[in-house]
Order: sequence, then structure tokens, then C-alpha cells
Amino acid sequence: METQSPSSDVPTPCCGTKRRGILKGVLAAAIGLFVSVVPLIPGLAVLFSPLRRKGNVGGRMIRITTLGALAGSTRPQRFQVIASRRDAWNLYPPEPIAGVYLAPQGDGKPPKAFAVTCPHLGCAVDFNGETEEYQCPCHTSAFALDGQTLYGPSPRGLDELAVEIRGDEVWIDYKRFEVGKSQQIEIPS
Amino acid sequence: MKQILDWIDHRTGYRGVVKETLYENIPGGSRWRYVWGSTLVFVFFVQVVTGIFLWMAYSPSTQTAWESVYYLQYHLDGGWLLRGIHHYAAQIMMILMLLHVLQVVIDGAYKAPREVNFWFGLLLMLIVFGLGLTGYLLPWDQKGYWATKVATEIAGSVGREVPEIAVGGADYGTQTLTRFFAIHAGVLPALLVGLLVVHIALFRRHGITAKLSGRREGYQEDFWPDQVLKDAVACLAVLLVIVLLAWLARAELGAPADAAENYAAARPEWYFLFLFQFLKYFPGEYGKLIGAVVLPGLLVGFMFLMPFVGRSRTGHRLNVAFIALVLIGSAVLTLLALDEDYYAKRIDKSQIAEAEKAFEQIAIDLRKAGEGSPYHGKEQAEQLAIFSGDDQEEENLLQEQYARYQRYQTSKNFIEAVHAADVEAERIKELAVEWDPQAEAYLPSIPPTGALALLRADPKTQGPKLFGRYCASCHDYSGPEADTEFVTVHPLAPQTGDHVPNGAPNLYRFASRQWIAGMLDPEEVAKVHLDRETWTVTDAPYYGNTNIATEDGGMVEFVQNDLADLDDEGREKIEAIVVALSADARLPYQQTLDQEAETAGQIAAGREAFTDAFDSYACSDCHRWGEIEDAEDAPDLTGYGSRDWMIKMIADPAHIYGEHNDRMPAFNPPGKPESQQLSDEKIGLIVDWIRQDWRPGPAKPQP
Repeated sequence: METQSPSSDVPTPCCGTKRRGILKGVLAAAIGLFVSVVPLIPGLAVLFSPLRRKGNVGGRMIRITTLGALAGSTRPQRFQVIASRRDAWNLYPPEPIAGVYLAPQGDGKPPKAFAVTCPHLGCAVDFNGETEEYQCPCHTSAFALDGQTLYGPSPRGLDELAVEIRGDEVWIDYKRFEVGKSQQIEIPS
Repeated sequence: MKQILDWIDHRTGYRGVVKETLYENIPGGSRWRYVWGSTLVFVFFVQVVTGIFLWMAYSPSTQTAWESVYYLQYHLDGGWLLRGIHHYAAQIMMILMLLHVLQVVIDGAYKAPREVNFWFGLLLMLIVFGLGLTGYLLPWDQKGYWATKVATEIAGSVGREVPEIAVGGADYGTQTLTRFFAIHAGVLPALLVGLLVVHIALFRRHGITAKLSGRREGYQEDFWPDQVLKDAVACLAVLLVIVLLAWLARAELGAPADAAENYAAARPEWYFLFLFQFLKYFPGEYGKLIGAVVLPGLLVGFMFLMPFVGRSRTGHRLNVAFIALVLIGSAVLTLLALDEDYYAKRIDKSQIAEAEKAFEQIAIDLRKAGEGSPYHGKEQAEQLAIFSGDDQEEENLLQEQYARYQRYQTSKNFIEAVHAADVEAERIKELAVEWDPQAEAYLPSIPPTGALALLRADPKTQGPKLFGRYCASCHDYSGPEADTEFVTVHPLAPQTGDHVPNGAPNLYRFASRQWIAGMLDPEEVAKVHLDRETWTVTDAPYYGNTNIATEDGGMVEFVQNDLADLDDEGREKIEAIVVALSADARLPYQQTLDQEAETAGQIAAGREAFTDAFDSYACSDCHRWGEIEDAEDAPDLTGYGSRDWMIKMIADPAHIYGEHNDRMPAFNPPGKPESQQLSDEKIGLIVDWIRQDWRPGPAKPQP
């Protein structure tokens, strides 16, 4: 780098020196900005890498229980969804990962399945046997036996999951949906 | 615009701060030599930025520390670069700090009125050392684990309480990581920032220690823009070096820390190597205290006194001489450490050829004479003295070579340990992922118990270790494509030179077609070569070096008599039996061949041939094999060489070989837990390794 020549030590702000000073200032600021930003780049890449991860939609079939466990009951019952789960670097052996309500429909019809997640903001709903409605403990949304919103702020009814009867076993197509939307939008996993 | 800025300035006084910051006066004008302090601040800034992002990915516990770093390094976008920058910036910081200190001492910038600021600088230096030390452990890989253990053991020479506090108990564990992490990411950076603020403020107060030579008297410049530009360019250069290093030589992540596995390749980071080497010269209980605490303490203590020592011209020269001496000493020690580790790579083997030859001769003599050998029970140096007899000249030569020979062996062990560590580090990367059919990709799939559990259950890496420990004293494992070979020297009987069988078959590709074919070959089955030159038994791949070779009416006799001089039909029969018997082992590397044989009916043909007499006997006259249950005198060949068969064989050979068993010990005899030497899991690891039955790494993407 060039240093100022000794002749310019008399501070006569001549146009050339001044212009050179501004140029140096701009250059210094630009390089300074650059070296400050570069270390941020890989950090931000790491921070945002969840967004770049594309998951799969379509759900997965999970065995929930047997028809025998539902027999003789007309009330919805809560079951655990048991499946293996990935969390960052870990793959966990099958364990409860969520809950689901199975609502018997009688007459040899397969039960309906509802996700326990309230479509409002994701709290888990409870089934109240006295009023025969699903109630969210957070913002008092309530849902009918068929999942329709009865009252409260939820933008849509409970999310129904497809049920498949395999022999004597009840399987569901386990999916998750974005909350707070009036439409069901599946979250890729 | 101006109104807004006025408003802000009125309430903050920012213009004054900016003015003071940028228009600091530099007597003599800007210079390149003033950039070092700024680059240090910049590198610290880089460490803070990358450190905070690393913090978002890191999980300090024994089951997650390595795993989270692994996940960052190999599965998060840009993680390798983030970690690489932090890794190399730490090392660059050491170099820059060294230059900074050097410059300050040489320029006498510690002199009045800058003494206090010099002390702050020294404190900052100690903090940076502390950051390097604590950061090295956090990935919880073998290297960091074992190197840091040494450091805390050194602290233990002051008193047991020190490492117990640092480590959070008597042993390394999760508490060690949480503590080291808090110190590394919280305590030390906070201290550093605090001291740095004072350091810079004091520096501003006293101004730069100007170097006026070659500059016109009275000439001066402001900090802005010339010096700022120079500083910025220097920072850019430093950043480029860091990024380039991180890009070209990715930050290393070893295998996960394992307290049960020795790690001979453990070394501190290079900037602590001098201390590591230094400690070699301080033996005894108090050695480490003197070498790693007292002397370095005195050294730093002297540096704190430099401002007083340097008051006179002589004193200043003394300071410069001192720092030069310390630097040269450290450099020499570092080079010595590196040279000792990599000695085996650079040594010309002719320099130890005589010693090696002498040891070979000594080994032969020991085999020949046994306890009667003059070398028996002697130390190596003594053996060489006896070896050279009265020849003083030769003894001198040998002792001189012996010193090199020892260094060579130590270095060779180190290099081999580094290689073994690299192999494990690579293997754990393969084990940590599993194919996910839904995502159609290899995804990290470490069990919640941690990656070490994966490695410990891996036959490919654990098998050879166990084989070496439990099997290799009798069995060889060597072949053209073996990645690890075990060959044991079996001696002839002392004095007489008789062949006393003292080995066992070579298990490389045991139960494969080639192996069985060799065993049924009259030439091979009891092949043994007695080498009277070296007093050893060599080339005994099957039963040649066992008692089975001389058993009356045994297998070997049968092979040698009945299977010699076969006609074409007989040879075909043998081939069919080999194929069928080997298929029973269900060897993964032979799977395709076995399936082809099954389809071609070769296996059925082999089973038939099994019951068909050769010269006088059929195999089935002695052996059972699946549904062929005519006899039960000789070993049951059902599932010969299969996983179950081999586990049974190792657990309790009498179970299979009955009285025909030579000296194969029972490693886990059923119903006798008191004589268990190997658990079922460990036997399984050995068996799977011999069978080459391990999880393959992720398939390379198809081009």
C-alpha cells in the first residue's frame, strides 16, 4: 500500500489528496464490511439448513390398536401413535410420538381417527365425556364428535386421519398439518 | 438527514466517539507494522461470530457432544466450513498473538507509561491459551479426549481438587463437557472482552508506540483512512488464509471418545506441543509439576516483570534476549516433538539395520536355546552387549543403533496409532448413517445411546482388536486381501529342534470354498515347513501345526490317504462337496456363488457325494451333516462355518469337536460363567469379522 508522500505533510487540502483520501476511506469501509460479513455466511447457512431440507409428504401407515380394544364403546378413545422418530442425528427406536383419537362409528363401520392437535395453535385437545365434545385447553376451541368446530377461535375442524382396517388391526395414515390455517396443509417430514 | 443526525448526536454524542475513534493521531503516519493488534481483534470477532453459530448446533454431553459435531460437520449446510473457520482461526490467533507479543517486546512498548497495558496483554494471552485448551475437548473425539486428559492430570500435580473441580468429578463425563463448554463459550470470552476493552482503551490513552525511523520529523496522520485501510487489508489477508485452510484441509473429527480404548496417537494441538515435549524431560512424581506448572509459571512471571527489567537499555536487551530464547526454545521443542513422532518416516533404515539383524539373531538363539540362551530374561541393551561379545567396536555400533531403533519403534507405533485412528474415524462415518427408504437418502441414524455404541458393536473395527488379543497367539489371519494381518512366529522346540505343534489354522476366509478345498487337499491339509535357519515353523495353513495332523485314523490321515490320487470322478465329487459344505456357512461374500450353485444343483450333488465312499470311507461314515445322521464320531458339520456354528465353536469347542479338539480353549463354556473369557457379543464380533459379515458403508452414488 502506498503511504502518503512526505511532501503532503503540510495540510493543504488540495483536491488530489482529498480525493485519494475519500477513495481510501471507501475502500477501507468496503473491505471492513466484507471481512465482517464473510464469517457470518457459513453460520447463516447452518442456521437456515432446516429450510433447505425437503421432507416427504404422504404420511406413513402406523398400527394403532385392535378392533377388540374399541369394541363395546361408543366414545372416542385416545391412543398413542408409536413409531420410530428421527431427531437431528438420532434415530430413536419406536416410542410414542403423538396421540390420536379413535371414534367408533358402530354397525361394523371402521372408526374415525382425529389428530389430537388443535388446528388453532397446536395444543392437545381432550374429549369431554359429559358434553360429548373435544375441548382445547388453551383457547377454548371445541369440536363436535365428527370433528366440526363448535365454537372458539379454531380456523378449521379437527384433522381427520385416514383409517385402514387390516384384519383385526386399526391402522392410520399418520400425517401432520400446519396449524392456524383454514385449509389442511401437510407438513413434510 | 442532518437534522436527524443532530438529534441523535445530541442524545448520544456519537460524533465525538466516532471522531475519537477514527481521528486518532499517528505520529509518523500509518504503517503496516501497526496492523497486528487489529488483526487479533478481528480474529477474535470471527471466533465470536462462528462460536455463536456453533453454539446453536452443539450439545454438551457424553452421548451427544461428538454426535452434534458430527451432525454439524457432515449434515448441516456449511457446517464443515463454519467449524473449519473456528478451528483454524483459533490457530491463526495463536500465531498473531505471538507476533504481537514479539513486536511489543522488541519495540519496548511495555515501558512506562504502558506497563499496566502490557500486563493486560499478558492476561489476554493466558485467556487465549485457556480457550484453546478448553475448546480442544468439546468435540469429544479420541484426540481431544486423551490430550485434554493429560492437561487436567497436570493440573492434578498441584492437588487432586483442581482437576476434580474442572472435570466435575473423579472421571471425565458429561459434567466435564458442560463445565468446559461454559468456560470456553461463556467465562473466558466474557473475561476476554472485558480485558480487551481496557487493553484498547489504555492503548488509545497512551497512543501508538511510534516507529519514527525513515519518517520526516513532525509528520503525522490520522488513523482514518490510511491506517484503517492497512488494517482492513491485513484482516482480509488473515481471513483469506483462514478460509483457505478451512476449505482445503477440513477440520478433523476423530472417532468418539472411548475411555476403554487406548489412544496412542493423542497429542495436544501444535501450539502446545513444546510443552508436551518439555514434559518428557521431567520424570518422577514432581516432574510434571516442575515441567508444566513451575517453569512455565516462572516464564510468564518473568514476562510480567519485563516493564521493570526493561527500564535500562541493558534490561530491555535482556527482555528481548529472553523472549527470543523462549521462542527459539519452544520452536526447537516443537520440532523435536514432531521429529520423534515422525522419525520412522524419515530414518534411513540402514542406520538401524545392524541392530535389527542382531535382534533377529538373538530371537533365533532364544528359540533355539530357550531358557539356556544367554539372552534369556535380559533387557534389550544387555542382549546387545552379550551379542557383540568382546568386540567393543561392534558393541558401540549396536548401542548407537539401538538408541535409534528404540526411537524408530516408538515412532512407528505412533504412526500406526494415527492410521488406526483415521480408519476408525472413517468407519464411524459409515456406521452413523442408514438408508431411509422414505427420504431415499442416507440419514444420520445414531441410536440415543450414542455413536460409541455403534463403533463398539462393529465387527469390522472391533473384530481385529479382539482377534489380536484372544486368537492370534495360535491362529494366523493372513491372505492376499486381508486388511489386517496377524502372523505369529511359532518356534520349534528349544535345544532339539523337534516340531512340537503349537499353532492353529489360518482363519482368513475360513469355510470359504478355497479354504475347504485347501483343507481337503492332501498336500495342504498337514503342510508344515520347519525352518531350521530361523528355528520356526512356517507355512502351516491348516492342521500342519496341530496335534490333529498326527491323530491315528483322523481326518488328516483320511485326506492324505483316501483323497490322494483321485480320478476325475473323485475330483468332481470333492469339488461338489466343497461347494455344498461351503454354502452351509452362508458367507456374505460368497452369496452369489452359493445361489448359482443351488440353482445349478451343485449343492444337491455335493450332499449326495458326501455319503459316497472314496477309497474306503465316505464323509458321512464319520460326520453328521444336516439330515445325514449316520455317524456321530467326528465333528457335526451342520452349518459348518456359519455364524451359529462358529460361535458354538469358540464358546465351547468340545461341543463340536468332542475329544478331537486339540488345544482350542472354551471361551464361554455353557453353564460355567466362572470360566467365561469372552461374552457372546464379543465372540459374535470376532465371528462376524472372520466371516466378513459387517455393515457395508453407504453405497457410492451411481454415476
